[in-house]
Amino acid sequence: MELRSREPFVFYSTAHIIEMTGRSARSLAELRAGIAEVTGSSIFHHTFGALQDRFFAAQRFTSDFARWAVEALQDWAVAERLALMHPTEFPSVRALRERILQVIDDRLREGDPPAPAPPGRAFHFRQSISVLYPAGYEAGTLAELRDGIRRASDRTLFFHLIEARLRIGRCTNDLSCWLSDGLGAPHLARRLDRLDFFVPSTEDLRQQVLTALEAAP
Amino acid sequence: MNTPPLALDDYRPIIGAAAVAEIRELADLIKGRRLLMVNSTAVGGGVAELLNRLVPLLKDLGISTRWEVIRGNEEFFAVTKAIHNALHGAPVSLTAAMRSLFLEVAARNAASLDVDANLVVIHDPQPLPLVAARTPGRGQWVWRCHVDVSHPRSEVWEFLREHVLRYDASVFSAPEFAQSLPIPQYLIHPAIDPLAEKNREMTATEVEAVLTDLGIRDDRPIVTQVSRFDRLKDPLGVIRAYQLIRRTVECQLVLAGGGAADDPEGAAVLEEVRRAADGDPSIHILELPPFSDREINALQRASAVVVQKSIREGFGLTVTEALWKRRPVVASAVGGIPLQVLHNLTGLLVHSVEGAAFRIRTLLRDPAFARRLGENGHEYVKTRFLTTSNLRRWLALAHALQHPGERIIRLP
Repeated sequence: MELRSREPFVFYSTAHIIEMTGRSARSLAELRAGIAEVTGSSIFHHTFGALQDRFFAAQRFTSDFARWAVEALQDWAVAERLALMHPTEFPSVRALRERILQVIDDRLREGDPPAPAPPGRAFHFRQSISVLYPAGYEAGTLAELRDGIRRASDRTLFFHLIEARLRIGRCTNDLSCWLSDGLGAPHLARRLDRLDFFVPSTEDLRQQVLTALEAAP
Repeated sequence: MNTPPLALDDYRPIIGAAAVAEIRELADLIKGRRLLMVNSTAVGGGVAELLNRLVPLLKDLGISTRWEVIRGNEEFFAVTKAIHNALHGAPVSLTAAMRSLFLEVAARNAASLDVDANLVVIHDPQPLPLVAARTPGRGQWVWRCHVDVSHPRSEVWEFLREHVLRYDASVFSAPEFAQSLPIPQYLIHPAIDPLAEKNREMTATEVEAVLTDLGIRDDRPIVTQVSRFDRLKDPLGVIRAYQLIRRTVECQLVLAGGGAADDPEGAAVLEEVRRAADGDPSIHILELPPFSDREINALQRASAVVVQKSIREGFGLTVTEALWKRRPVVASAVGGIPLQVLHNLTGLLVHSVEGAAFRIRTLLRDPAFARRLGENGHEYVKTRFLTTSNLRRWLALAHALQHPGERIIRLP
């Protein structure tokens, strides 16, 4: 008989509204100062926020910091280092922020910092306000979870795989945690940690999740 | 005029059943709140077009929504036109009499309109001072600024700013269009309606018939710019770009814009455009009457390349329209265009006449690349810049305003 968790996994959907913080940066040093001080919502929005609609995640830097470093500062090296960060590497936004600061500090220590952005090309810090609400379905077993994954929207997948883990805190709406703690299947949770989020479409991501959940232990 | 769609379900074939269901769930959680939208015109202009879609959809979702239009005389609208120009940086001053009239008309409207609602959204500067009529402690007031106020005449902005500060929040179309304000500032991109006459699907036969009516009868690839005849849209630059490639690339150019009859500057630009075209029969200069949505739709759909070679631009909804129609776009990297045209992914960004010529040629020579950009552009607009995305953002904002200071709002 299939294992049933005592607590069901509730699928959520999300809606976002972007708030401008009023803070901007024209140089790498100013960007660094901003990153150190803005909210976690802002860090998340500018790094992995774009993974929600998955556009060109495989071809384009999804990090706003990385893109700005190229487009406004023409500093490819720091941009590439900022771009190659993966959501599952970080347990929290705080850890993500520290890594970003470390990359920029290393670059600034190298000397010869990039010239400031030209007029009109400042980086504007924004933050994302997330509205979470039940999507109307839940899962108690692995089979029900797979069904839920099949019907989940882009937003629902993004929330449970990335946003919940980094923004809400571990083990709240986090798929990996429910698999480990709720269903007693830590091996499946570990598989989710190896997902590649930088794939061209939501269907690619969904297929990866289903494959991870369907493979033999 | 188009008949607005009656229901969100009309969009189901476009955005999918899951997305429609999600919007309904989100709306159900604010049922019972009363919304009021206020602007200065019921027809014509982007804001009226937006509200003509948004208001029926909010009602369809079961949210009590009213739309009021302020009244004013010719003198008042001359003042608001001056304010509009000053917000775009034109050297315009507001006399004491102009300021008084602006405030008086607002006060008269405030007295005659019912502004009691849970959420009052005031669009653009014309009805801005209505906020003076708000009852303390009742309802939340949001100023939705559709105008780029990043480089205004400072005395005019300072005059308006006093009123803006009485709002609970503001909404801008792009971060680059905003001013520093001590109230929360949210971002909602403009959007197009895929079901509107200007954007609906058309058959090849219908497109062909419109082209014939417009006098475009040969089948060489069409390069099009749809824009009013305005120097900031650089129609002369588009002609020069076309002239740079016409010897080696077989194509024809269409410049289609609104009538310039009541706009002295537009008429002068149109004359310059005609002179620059120099009688070339492959350059079609089309002066379209208002509400030529069907013609614009057909022209965009018939184009091998759509160009937007603006020198300055707002959000650039003509670009959004072209992307939605799967057209490869060559556009200047100004205003809101780079938010839509991701270089080499959803279109090609340019910075000069020569750049425009080079990229138009690239797309005419490489139809497979052009098709890929067009498909990407369509998908990108579908997620971000349709009426339904706009609706979702307004619903999210309504929730956010009920939870001030919270960045993660968990609804039951």
